[in-house]
Amino acid sequence: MGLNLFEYFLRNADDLLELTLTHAVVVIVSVAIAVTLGVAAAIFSRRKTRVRAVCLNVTSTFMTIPAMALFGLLIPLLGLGWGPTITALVMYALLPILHNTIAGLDGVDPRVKRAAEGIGLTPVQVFRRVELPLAWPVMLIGIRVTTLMTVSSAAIAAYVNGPGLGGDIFTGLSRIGGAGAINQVLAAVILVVLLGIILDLLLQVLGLLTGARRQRFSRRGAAS
Amino acid sequence: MTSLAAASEAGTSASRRTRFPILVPILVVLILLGVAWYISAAQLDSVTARMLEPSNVLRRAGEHAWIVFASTVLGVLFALPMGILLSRRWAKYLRTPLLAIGSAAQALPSIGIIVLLALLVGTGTNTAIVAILLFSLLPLLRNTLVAIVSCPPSVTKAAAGMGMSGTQILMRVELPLGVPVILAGWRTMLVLNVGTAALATLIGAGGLGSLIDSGMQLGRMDVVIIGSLLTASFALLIDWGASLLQRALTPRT
Repeated sequence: MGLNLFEYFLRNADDLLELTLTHAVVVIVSVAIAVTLGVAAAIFSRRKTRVRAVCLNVTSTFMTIPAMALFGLLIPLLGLGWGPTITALVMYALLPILHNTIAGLDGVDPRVKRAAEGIGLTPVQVFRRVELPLAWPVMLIGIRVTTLMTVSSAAIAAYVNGPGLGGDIFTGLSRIGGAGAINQVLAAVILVVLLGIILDLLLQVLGLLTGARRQRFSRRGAAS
Repeated sequence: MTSLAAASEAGTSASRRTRFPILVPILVVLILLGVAWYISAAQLDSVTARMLEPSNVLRRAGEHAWIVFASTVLGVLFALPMGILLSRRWAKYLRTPLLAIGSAAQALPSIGIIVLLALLVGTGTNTAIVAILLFSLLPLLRNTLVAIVSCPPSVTKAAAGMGMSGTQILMRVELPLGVPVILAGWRTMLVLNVGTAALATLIGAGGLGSLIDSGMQLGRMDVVIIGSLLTASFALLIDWGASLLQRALTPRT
């Protein structure tokens, strides 16, 4: 079977690459929208405890709804294809981003903020040059969690004719018992996981480049 | 390790935030009333009426509940001891590679595991239960491990100083202190199970997802919507129950 799978990859390399790239686009678009909305909501609700509680409750309720049900509810509103796919994935992606942005901003030491004000920074400068950079490592963890989750749940979107690697899983299922069905599904699953690993590595590199590790070192220093 | 601990920490405080405990049941009751009203008031054709018969809906809900129950019980029986074993000192060098694999496994698509297992060992309820179990093990396993490993050394050393053995420290110090984190992992697992069980219908294991699927197959949009609403209500109720249990079992400090 191992050789067969290898052959399957070679023979369908073009199609599989295209499906993987489409899957990646779906994930990146959804996560990008979710980051925009989630960070905006977190910043907007900073000093409004009630708004914040509502945002967290609503997004955690989204996450509880099974994917199949969410897609079923979105079909009458948005039809099939990209529309319900992106909408559902954004809804699922919001909670980790919102939550970690809030946690990151709350975790900034108030003394640091006061020191920044003390050297004459305006509130906007304090936010952009002190709070956001300090919150960024925690925010990045949220983005990584969300990305892995989105890569995996994007596969279910094929149920509503969504784009990406999930299509091969459903086709394989419809060909149950037929020759090559297992290879088709196995290849799609492997590529989904690989895509997840690659995107996660890219985000880790982004973290290194943007200095998201700094806090880790300082924390370790403080602990010892 | 730092990132994992932070991530699981984030999970805990999110789920422990007050969730307006009455709101969810009210919402679910309203949805159920709306569905009941629609079924009794609308002029349904014979195909739709048969799919939405109360006996059929209840049977589907029962199948769904069984799949969730079986996969959750088996998951706890497997993940909890595994997490404890991996937290022992001799497993130190196993942990890092396993946690790395575990983090990559988050990208495993649930639908892929279910379909793959069905192709390999055949369709049916038991296949669905095993597939769902495999898919959802990780959160509880990881939270159990993190809960025990992140127990402050000062506490375990004090316990050792009082003359407790390794097992006693585990049973009377590390596990009780880890309860909130372990419960958070359990609840994540439960929610994943309820959601993934909706896919079980695709491999002939029934469940509430089959209302959605047969509605899609036969082009009955009202059945799709009702099936989705019922599946979502089921998930919300289970998560609500789990949150109450979590609150009751979490020791107050």
